[in-house]
Amino acid sequence: MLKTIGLSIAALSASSFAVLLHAAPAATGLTVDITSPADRSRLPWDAQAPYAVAVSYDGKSTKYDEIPADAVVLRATSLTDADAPSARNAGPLAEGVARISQSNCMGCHDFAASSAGPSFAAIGKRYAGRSNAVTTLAGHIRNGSSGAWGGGAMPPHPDLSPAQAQAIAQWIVAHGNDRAVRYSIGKSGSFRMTPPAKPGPRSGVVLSAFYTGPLKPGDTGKATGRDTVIVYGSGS
Amino acid sequence: MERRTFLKTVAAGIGASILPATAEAQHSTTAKRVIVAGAGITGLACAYELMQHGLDVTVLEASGRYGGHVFTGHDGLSDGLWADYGADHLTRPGYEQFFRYVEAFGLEAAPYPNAEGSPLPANNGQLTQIGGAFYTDAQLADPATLRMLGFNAKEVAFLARHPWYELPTLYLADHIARFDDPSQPFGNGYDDLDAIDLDTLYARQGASQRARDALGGQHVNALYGVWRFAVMKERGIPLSEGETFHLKGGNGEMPKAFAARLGARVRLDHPITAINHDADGVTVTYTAYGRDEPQTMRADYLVNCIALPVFRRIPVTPALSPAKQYVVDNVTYSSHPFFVFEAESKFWLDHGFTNLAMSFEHPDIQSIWVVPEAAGATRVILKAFGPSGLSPQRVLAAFREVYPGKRDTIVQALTHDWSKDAFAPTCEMEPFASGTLRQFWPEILKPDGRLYFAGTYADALSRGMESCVRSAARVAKEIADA
Repeated sequence: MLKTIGLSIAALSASSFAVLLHAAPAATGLTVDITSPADRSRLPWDAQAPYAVAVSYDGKSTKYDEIPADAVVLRATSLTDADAPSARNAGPLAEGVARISQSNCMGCHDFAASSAGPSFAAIGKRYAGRSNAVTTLAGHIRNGSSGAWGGGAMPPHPDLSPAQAQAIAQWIVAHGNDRAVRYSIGKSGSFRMTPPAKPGPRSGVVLSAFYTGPLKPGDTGKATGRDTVIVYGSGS
Repeated sequence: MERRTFLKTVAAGIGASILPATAEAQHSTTAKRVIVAGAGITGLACAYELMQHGLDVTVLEASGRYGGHVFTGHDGLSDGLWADYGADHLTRPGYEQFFRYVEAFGLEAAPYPNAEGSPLPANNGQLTQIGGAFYTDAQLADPATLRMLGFNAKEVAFLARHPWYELPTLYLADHIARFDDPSQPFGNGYDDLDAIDLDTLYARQGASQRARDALGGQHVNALYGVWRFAVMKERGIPLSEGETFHLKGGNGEMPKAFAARLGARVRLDHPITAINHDADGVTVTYTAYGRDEPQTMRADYLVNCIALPVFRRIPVTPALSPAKQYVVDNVTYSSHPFFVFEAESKFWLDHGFTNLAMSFEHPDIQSIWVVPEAAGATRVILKAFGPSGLSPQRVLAAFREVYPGKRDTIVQALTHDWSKDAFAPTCEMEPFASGTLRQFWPEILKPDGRLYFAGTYADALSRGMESCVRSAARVAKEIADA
């Protein structure tokens, strides 16, 4: 037992040293790498599969927890034609989702299932088409609310600006219940191989990873690295 | 199951649990291998029970700390003071299994009066804010006050003779008395109550709006509510929920005691990344602290003791049955922080109050109470209940707005924001919503093949740490007997 611990500490020190030697001088750019699953791999439809993302920025990395795990968002988009040229350029991350990852929303909400609070999908479904839905929800986010869903209360979020609360509410109302686009927060976790309405041989899920943490003034946040991978679906 | 059989089963599950260590050898021929997912209070208790049954157990915990939502913190406090930021108190009666461990491990439970708004002891200087004014227990039993608050004549007469927490019996005494088999909710003649909420039932029984506001049965499945009272009665738990205690040194002493006995069986910083199961066993993929490459471990069984909102992020292959997946995706939990204030003195005594046990109407602070003083400390710890995500300074400012005394001597305000905790964000299970109990029960207790489930939700009475350790002992016995 002692020997194993000794060895693993030695291995860890050696690898940290190597990173310092090679990465320290010029590691100011933003690198986002989906290290798993492999690009152009294949998984059964409806499977829940693990992912891992490594992010480094300004000499800091998720590997050593210098970048917090909640600054990483994975977006999984189901596409009928994952080979289309547009598939890998599916656009930036919605502002609302970035704000969700950075606030404490995920402590009580999940994207598509209940935890302490209702899922964003359930909220999106209930509020879709209602007049003033965004304003109402943004108010609930900022000021808190209770009685709308269950016995628990939504706490106020004075830490979010009105514009940030508005962005979250906009995303929930417009996209919270979109089955084709799902999100996971964290440098590792899982995603689901949700099939599109009519899956074909070129259908798959496009995974895009994003860094939502703070940037230094002047930085654009444009990632380099393997931040998009395509996983084809298989089976019925 | 007959009531008598149920009681026997429960008694056996619990009674067998605290065996002398020599009992391990007697069972060792079975040598079933079990992986326990999660080293919260449930996972540690389950692993301990499995070990006592002579099984080969390994606990994989994702975070670098065991205990999960049971967490005693010392940081930021002076004089060696501490505060429980998660599980706050034990009750007597109601924590029978937990107290067996307290005794077996030589821990000490100390009285913790009026913990987290507990009404016991009664008339202990509590103050309740209603409509801006503060009321003592005695004033809340005064018919004139009760009428002014809007209770009907029947309620006024009842509350003049009974404490407020007994109000449910005014309307549900017959329901509870006729609930023959509290081991499960259905088949007791009230199945139709699954369709409505408890508030609707109180209204049907003639409760005033004021009583319904006080009883708070909205969003609570009526059958679940009635069943819960029946189980409490069966277990001898009064409506006051019993007298409150905590462990000397903090409730974190319990996970510590389990972990000490489990030793190297508990692997911290070993997050599970995938679970594969088949008819013969379970293969778990995990990463060990400081290593990038995933590793695997094979066992005969896995007990999931991770809170379901966190568990469901782990891919399970093949997928859980639709009935089990429904449970995993739909159990709702409460999640709230405690705000801990350190004061230089018992300032409220100087302001004419015998106790600081108050409930408020302020949106940023709902209640405050005193943690019994530690030996030798002159400073005192107060705990407050407020919404998640607020800074402790904001909650302290709210206290200063509503506290009816003069200047306090609070010098420190702290919290642990569970909503930012990746592995243990949730506290207790919330009541089931109307119309859903049949989808949860009894599926919520069942294994899915070789995957078993224990946790606060996996007991006939979801109630703090007791339901955690009871479900843990039940599952350990089921696996040992399988």
